[in-house]
Amino acid sequence: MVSRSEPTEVTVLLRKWRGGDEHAYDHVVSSVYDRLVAIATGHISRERHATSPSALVSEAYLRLRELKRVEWKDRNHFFAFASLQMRRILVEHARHRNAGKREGGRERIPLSPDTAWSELPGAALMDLDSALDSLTESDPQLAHLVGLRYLMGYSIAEISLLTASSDATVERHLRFARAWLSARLNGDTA
Amino acid sequence: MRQQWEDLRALFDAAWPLSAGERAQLLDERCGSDTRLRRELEKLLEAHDEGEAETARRASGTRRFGVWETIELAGRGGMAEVYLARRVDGQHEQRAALKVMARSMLTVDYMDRFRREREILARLEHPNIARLFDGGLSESGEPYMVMEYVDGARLDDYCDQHSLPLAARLRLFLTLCSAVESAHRNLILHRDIKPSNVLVTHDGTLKLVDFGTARRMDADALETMAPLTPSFASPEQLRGESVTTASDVYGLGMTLYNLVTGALPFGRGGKSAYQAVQEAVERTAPPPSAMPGLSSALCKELRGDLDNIILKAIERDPARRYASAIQLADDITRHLEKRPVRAHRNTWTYRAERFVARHRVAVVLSAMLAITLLASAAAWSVEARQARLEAARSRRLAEFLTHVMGLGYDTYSGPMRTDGASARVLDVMRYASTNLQREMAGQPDLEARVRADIGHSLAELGLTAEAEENLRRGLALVDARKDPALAAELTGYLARKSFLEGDLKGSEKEFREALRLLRAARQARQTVPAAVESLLLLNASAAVGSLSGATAEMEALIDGAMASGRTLGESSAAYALALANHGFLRWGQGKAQEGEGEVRRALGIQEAMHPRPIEACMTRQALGDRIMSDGRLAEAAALMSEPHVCLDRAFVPGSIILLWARLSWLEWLVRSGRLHEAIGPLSVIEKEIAQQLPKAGWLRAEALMWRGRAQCKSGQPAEGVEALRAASGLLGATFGASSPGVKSVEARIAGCGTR
Repeated sequence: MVSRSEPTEVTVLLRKWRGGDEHAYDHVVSSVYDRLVAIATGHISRERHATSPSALVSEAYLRLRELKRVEWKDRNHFFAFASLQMRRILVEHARHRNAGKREGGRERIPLSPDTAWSELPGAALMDLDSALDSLTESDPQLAHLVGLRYLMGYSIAEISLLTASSDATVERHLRFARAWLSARLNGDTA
Repeated sequence: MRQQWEDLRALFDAAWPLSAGERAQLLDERCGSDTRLRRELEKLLEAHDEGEAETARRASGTRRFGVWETIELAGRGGMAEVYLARRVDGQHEQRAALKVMARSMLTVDYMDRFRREREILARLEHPNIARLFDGGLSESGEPYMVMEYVDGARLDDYCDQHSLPLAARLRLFLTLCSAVESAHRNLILHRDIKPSNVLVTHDGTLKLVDFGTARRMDADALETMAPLTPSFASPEQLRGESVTTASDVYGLGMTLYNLVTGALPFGRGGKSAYQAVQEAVERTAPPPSAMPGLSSALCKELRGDLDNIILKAIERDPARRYASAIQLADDITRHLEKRPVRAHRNTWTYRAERFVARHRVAVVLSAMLAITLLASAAAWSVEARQARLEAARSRRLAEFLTHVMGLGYDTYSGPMRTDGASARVLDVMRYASTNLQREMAGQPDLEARVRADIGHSLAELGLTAEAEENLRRGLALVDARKDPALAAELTGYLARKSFLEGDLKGSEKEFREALRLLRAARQARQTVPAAVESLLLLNASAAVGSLSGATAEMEALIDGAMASGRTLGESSAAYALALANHGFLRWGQGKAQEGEGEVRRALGIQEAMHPRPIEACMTRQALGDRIMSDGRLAEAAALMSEPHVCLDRAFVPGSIILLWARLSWLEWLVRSGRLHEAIGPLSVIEKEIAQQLPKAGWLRAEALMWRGRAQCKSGQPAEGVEALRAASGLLGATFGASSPGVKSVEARIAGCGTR
């Protein structure tokens, strides 16, 4: 199980890693892997009776192996790659379970601050994926924050630690990103 | 561009906290004539408000669903929320768990999944499975279901809180096995068995909960990616391969591992989930007693039986696990009652199998010979008095197998030595058959035993002549008065051989002899393995039934086969085969719905087995064939297209099963009006049947009859009538001139060419 204190641990490890500690690097990668698997399988938000969303462990296993193969120069690079992998896993799975069906018209999907994307229905996720591409074009930094929050599942506090900014700033960025993506997702913007 | 973006962001940040009026005012001021910017902002704000509303809605209080009212949110998962709820229609005070699908999940595929869970729960009624009370749609159209509320602790917490001793934990675990077995009997796989999905109430009642990831075995298996919990998921689940009852047995095994040691075998010592997954897929688990930190008393209790039982349940290869939850439970009961358990590590069969695996012989080989080995072992292990003798025999047999299958650098020159990894099963079996006499010199009963298994396998694969030689030599070695069980088995296989040659009459005669020997064995209180008995009765029923139709005798034989099969569990191969035959019988008696249901249930069991047995392929083909006879052509085509491939792979070209499958497809072409495509191949197959199976005149008649029908319909009445006459003659020779088959062909002759 993934413990709640881990991200802080991650930040500590990251510091060590930048200081040249090879061992810390292994730990960072492992703990991020664990986190992604947990999100992919929906167990991070999961409680007693509840039902998990579709799981992706086998893909996660294969895809995330890449995390361990590449040598990372800096943490931004690393986290960007990790959230990209996570995104691919989710989209691939969405594609799989959707297999072309979008019957009965589109449902509006409000992105609330605590909507984990691994929980979204397939069609929405695929739209979101392309919306996120557009967002990356307009504002790569914002897209990176979205990745950390909604793909990697880090909390606001953790993200502000990771990106060396304040909670309020992170929240402000995310609020806008949410509205923007949500408008794209549900809207008629061509 | 950049500036526009910055403006948009700044305005949004300023506007969202404001009221509607204030927002409008702000936009008026700041957007001016830029209507595009204004529209964009309005859209963003609307989306923002919706998101906030969703959050508020999630956090809100009481909600009403039919006669139920929520009390508090008990949990939230990916696609649903679970509330503690109470009944408010004044009938009686009742609490329940109410699960409602999250609004964001209201898409077609999730609705399907939710509905499926409800259907699955509705099918399950077991004291150790949380029951379904109610379900429906809320006023705003969200699907919900109401289930038994289980107020209890997780299984592992419960055991620890009450400091349950090992035996009590095992007994509690047995009730979990019974719940899982009950689900399997209803053809439902849970797929996520782990301590947190098992709750125990204050009074010690265990309940298996959360069927949200469950699947019906007989449903279309399109959904390949199963939700899972990495630490408890089986290697095949982790690899994304098909999930069977064996995967649930794995979940049970891991749960038990955790329950008795407080730990899990993989990913220990602070390793990551990544490593745990990798270990589960690639490594063999250490025995529970080897877990660090256990008291020496507990270690002693675990070592031996319990180690073996748990390791067998969590074998990496699903085929080597317990075949069902009930077998796992059975072994635990044996352990509790201090009787010998079935799980053994490093026995000779185990070693022989490992040997095979190492040499990468085709999967079939290990399956085939392992069955042979196990059947033999089962047949012998009953008489404990002869334990020492048996050990010697077993060793002899193991050595023999190693010689036949091994590279044999010393004196032997088996197929493995010449062909290595490309050696075929058949070559190995032939080699075994040739060398058996020398190898088993002085042990006639052992030789007979092996000849029975080799002969049976060869016959089923279509090599009936070689099969017969083995079976007859085997029979010559057995004294039917001393060992009627083995004689019955050999005779039964011989009868089956004749049946597979198409010799219905010869087969029936031999089966009657086999059944007589079987009765003698029962009277002599000899143990006949249930699988052997079931197969014998079933094959006899087929022979009897093909000659005289669905008589009471045939029915009695099938019932007998079902009863023997059932003793091996309702997910066993023997039971599934008997059930399929029972279904076809009912179908033939006009009870189409009941019959088809049984056949499909049997198919579900067979297809859930790992590795998938060849009879699954045959059942599918037979089902297609039967459905075709009912005129459901499209459905039949879908069922029959797949078996061709697997049957082709499994049987030699002249085998009756293969010829029958091909013929059945040609019949489909005729029924579908594709006459010209069918006529040529029907002539070819008729000649093949005449050549390969000279005794199967009745099968040749079928080919002739369909060709005749096709020709009559396509303007070749002369050829058609000729074919039909030939068919009538052949049918008469087997079934008698006044049989219904002959009459129906005669009617065709009369009507040939007219429409």
